[in-house]
Amino acid sequence: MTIGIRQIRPAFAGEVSGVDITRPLGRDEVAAVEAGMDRYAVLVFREQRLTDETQLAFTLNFGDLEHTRGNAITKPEEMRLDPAFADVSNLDRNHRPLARDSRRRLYALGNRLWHSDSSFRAVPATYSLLSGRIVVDKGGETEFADLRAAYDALDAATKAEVEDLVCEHSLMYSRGQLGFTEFADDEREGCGRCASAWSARIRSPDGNRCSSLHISAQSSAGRCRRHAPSSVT
Amino acid sequence: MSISIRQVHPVFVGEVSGVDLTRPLPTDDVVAIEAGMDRHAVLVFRDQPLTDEQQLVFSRNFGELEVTLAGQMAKPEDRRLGDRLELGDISNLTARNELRARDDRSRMYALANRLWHSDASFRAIGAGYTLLHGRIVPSKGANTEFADMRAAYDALDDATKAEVEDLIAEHSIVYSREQIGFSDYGEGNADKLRPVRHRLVITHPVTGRKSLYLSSHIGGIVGWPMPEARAFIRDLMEHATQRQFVYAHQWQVGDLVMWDNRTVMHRARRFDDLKEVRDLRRTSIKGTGLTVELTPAQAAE
Repeated sequence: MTIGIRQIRPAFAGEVSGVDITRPLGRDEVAAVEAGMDRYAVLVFREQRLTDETQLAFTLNFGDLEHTRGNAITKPEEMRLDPAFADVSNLDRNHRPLARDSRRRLYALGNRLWHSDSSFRAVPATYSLLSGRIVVDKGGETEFADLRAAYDALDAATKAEVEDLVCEHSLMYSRGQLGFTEFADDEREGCGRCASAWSARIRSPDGNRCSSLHISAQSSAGRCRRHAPSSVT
Repeated sequence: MSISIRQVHPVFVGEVSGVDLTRPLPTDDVVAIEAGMDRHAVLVFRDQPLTDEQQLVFSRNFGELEVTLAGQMAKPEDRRLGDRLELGDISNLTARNELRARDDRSRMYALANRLWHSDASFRAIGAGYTLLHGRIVPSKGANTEFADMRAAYDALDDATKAEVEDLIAEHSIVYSREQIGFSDYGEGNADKLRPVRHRLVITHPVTGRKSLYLSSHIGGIVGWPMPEARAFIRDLMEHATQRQFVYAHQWQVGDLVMWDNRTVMHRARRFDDLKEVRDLRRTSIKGTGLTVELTPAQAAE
């Protein structure tokens, strides 16, 4: 069985077949996945019954893990999952849906804005890997936008205009757009990396103030994504 | 010569011919234009070399004129168009007819017009029609885009229609400006910043058609946590401004464009405003009726 990738959108996104990512991957397979990422920017693997452990093992094929505990508002004792994982759920540590006015829920609503993961850090994320464990009947899609195609489609004047612009990114800016501005002092301190990211500058081809559009220096693939979590009913 | 209107976009916008707006209009023409507005929501009149006075006269055919907020907040000596506060100065010029500097406060304030909005939705009674006349237009960019909120409403799925039906949104000039990081309103303007409430779904008084009453001035939904409200409003904005609902007007000198703020949103597009002049004049007609009952505090004002 060899890896095959079928492009599922005109500009980007590939669906991968012929690989079981719950098992250790051969070097050729890892290389094929990386080549697929360079080309398609988003890869979809269907029917992969990953555990946290096998997801972690698969992820480590592509480099070091980012420490996701930059989440400024979740206290260690409130965490449902191992800190290696970002908990992209609407559950509290007792596996109950977060209440409507829960700060964690309101904070996480920032994910409904277009963004690139960790662009608020001086060194942002490259790949993100998201595994679906429980999904909802309706809504809750994740949308992706190809920023290579978006860049290519700019007119020459705009390309020249954005070429050397430098953007300032902070978690506070995205949350501020939704009116989420209440951070306690210790959270602001825990958000020190946000504060330092204010002065950290990321080369960006974006001229229109959107802090989420950036083609990172590390990766040829510019990606931007939005999670759309379902509402709690 | 009689008025005729040709629809120029699949869902809305009519181009009007057979009328000279520089002259007083007979009642039949006014009625025909109002009917055109009910149907097309945006009307474009080409080659109308209006003076300020003629624009005011034409506008008054449709009701009482609104005073512009930017005019009210500006010091008298900073008003380029003098003391006629019904005439909105949609230009990048100072009172001395010079290009505004990059860090000019009025320029910063006006940049929020690049966000989708409905005129004066931050007032308890929003604007009805707005009329915008092109005097000087730049060589590139600076389109005004319109989005049809009736078509956007119609295209919602049934569950969303039911969800939005009775929602009340809170609007303030502060909410649109804070999205672009502007908060410098000057002394004595606090009363103009207080949020007002409008239904999210409104029904046109003449046609009975429903529209989404969306605007970047919205900052909350009554009874909802603010971030949830704003995330939802953003989703609705994205839905409502998909290309099939949008018309982009490319300005020519002498164009008069007239739209109904109860049925469309609009936004300005960028141009090289530090180098080129754009001079448009705006008049707005006061809206009719409230979309939400006034609170006793508002009524007392």
